[in-house]
Amino acid sequence: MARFLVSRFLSLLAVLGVVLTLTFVLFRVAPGGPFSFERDLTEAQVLAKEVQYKLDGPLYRQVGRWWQDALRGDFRESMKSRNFTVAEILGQSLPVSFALGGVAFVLAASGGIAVGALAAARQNRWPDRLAMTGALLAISLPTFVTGPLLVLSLALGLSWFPVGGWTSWKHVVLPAICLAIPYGAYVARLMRNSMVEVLGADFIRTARAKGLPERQVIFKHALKVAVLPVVSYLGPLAAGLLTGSVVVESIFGIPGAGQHFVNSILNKDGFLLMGAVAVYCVLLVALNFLVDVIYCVLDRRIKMYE
Amino acid sequence: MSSRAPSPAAPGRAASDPLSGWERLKLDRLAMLSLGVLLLSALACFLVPPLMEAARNTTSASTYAPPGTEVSAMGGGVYRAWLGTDASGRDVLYRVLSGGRVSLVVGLCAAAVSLFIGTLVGMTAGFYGGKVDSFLMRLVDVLYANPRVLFVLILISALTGPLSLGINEARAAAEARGWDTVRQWVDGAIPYQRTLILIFCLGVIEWLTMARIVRGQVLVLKEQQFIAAARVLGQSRWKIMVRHLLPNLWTVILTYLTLTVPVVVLDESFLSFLGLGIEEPASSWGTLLKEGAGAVNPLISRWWLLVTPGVAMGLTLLALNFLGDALRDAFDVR
Repeated sequence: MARFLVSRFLSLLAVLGVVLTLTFVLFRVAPGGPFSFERDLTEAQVLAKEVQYKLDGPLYRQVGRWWQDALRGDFRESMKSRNFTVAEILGQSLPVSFALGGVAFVLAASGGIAVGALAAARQNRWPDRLAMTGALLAISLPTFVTGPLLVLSLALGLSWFPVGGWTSWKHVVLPAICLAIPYGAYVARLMRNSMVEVLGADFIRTARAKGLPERQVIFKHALKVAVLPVVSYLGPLAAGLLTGSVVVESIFGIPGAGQHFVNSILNKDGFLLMGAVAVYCVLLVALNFLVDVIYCVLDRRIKMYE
Repeated sequence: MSSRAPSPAAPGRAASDPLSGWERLKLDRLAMLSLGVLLLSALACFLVPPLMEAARNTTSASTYAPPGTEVSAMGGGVYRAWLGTDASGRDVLYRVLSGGRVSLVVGLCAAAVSLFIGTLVGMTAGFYGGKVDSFLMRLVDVLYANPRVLFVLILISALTGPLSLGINEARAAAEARGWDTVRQWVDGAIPYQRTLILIFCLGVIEWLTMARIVRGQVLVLKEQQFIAAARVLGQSRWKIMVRHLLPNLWTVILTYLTLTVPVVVLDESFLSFLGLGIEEPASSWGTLLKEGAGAVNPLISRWWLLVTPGVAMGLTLLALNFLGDALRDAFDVR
């Protein structure tokens, strides 16, 4: 197991290196460089700017110097918002996104697993049909439809929650639900399919033949095995949720990190983009590794039980 | 096709299975209903807007008129706006139907691009195996780890400049040589620049799943006897891939085409929401939803601007997803 984990870790590190280098190269190769917003720069001025931002010289040296700085924890200054370092910008907005994404993650994972398991237990009867149709509908609608609809019904109609902003716990509820809906639906579908498969397995038939109550069969025996495919999806899910959804944050007026992902590209703010991508990728890689570890532990326990 | 290969639906299934994939699909009432909804939605989007009064697409003084209002357009012509009007007094029904046309075309074309790339990569990886396979699959892994949304954004912002430059140059070159038909073609393409870029970029992003699935299927197929027979007969690898593997992959491809279209339509609407998708005056469901989302506010809620495109898009994508799921079950594709 240790060997498997070490090799997984190394390959994930390689992915991290490739993705970040690729992003840097794309950003440098793309036409309309970072200084194209400033008027009528002479060639000498462009060169001076490049030297100032350490973007002169051949491409591989530019990448190399960025990596040197990044590994020392210096993500440089934003090229657009002067006087702010990338670390400062992300340091202000990431905690907000993490709070929102964390709540949404718990909602999506727990809700999805519960709905999926219940649907599988009532396979092909109306609770199953209803839940799976609902899940498919949730996947088919973008968050900028569900978001305003939630606002329209729960905030404007019933006045249970505020319309937007980010000051009290009440402000977290609607955006978190909105963010969790499509992911929760995906988890529910995954969970239902894997549970249906597990419920047809031999060891479940044995458990039922022993005369165990159905509740115990489902929650004690089947759930543990059926949850495995879901666990492997939770890594990318968490990385996506924690770095924030641009759309949800803009609908509810939340000062999260999502806007920086998009704006850095539109403004050609390369270092901010690199910082944002670095955070996303490190999270993704770390969480994927965590999932692998969990998988190993879970899997061993299951083998012991079987 | 079936004369030289086993039933495409059933690699490895017992020959005694009485129902083919199509027969199983026809028995699935939900799938047939979805197919009906899809056909209806496509027909409505493509055929109805040209039949409606032209006045519906022109601006009028009655902005944000609620559903059912009688509207008189600027250039003359009176119609009843069954689903209300938008910020410039245009008919929402007309805009949703013609926007659906753009969304569906972008969805289908981009899904076709992704299908082409995915099938090519998947077949090559699966059939050649060895180093080719592991290289291509590592590539897919790395691209999976990339934040997809960022990748699309970078691609779009990188391609927008060069494409318009290229179009301008092509137009100038055609003009200089007096090629009128070519120039007219290029002129015709100018308003569709954004759409072309979107189709290309979304297609380039969404092929990963397709490649994995096709590769898996090819790995199963290439061990079967009819492939071995083709090899023994001395057919070239290319011929085996095109003549023997491809016909047996088409149910897989059809299934994932059906499942990729909704993903692409969602992506397009997301990009339109960020202002990077389809641009005015053309509209797609994404741009309409963006307007609709902005129209929900604490003072006056113009819900029809959000609900109408929302329902149209939701229903169409739901039907596509249902149909895709049913295809996957019927042909037993994993």
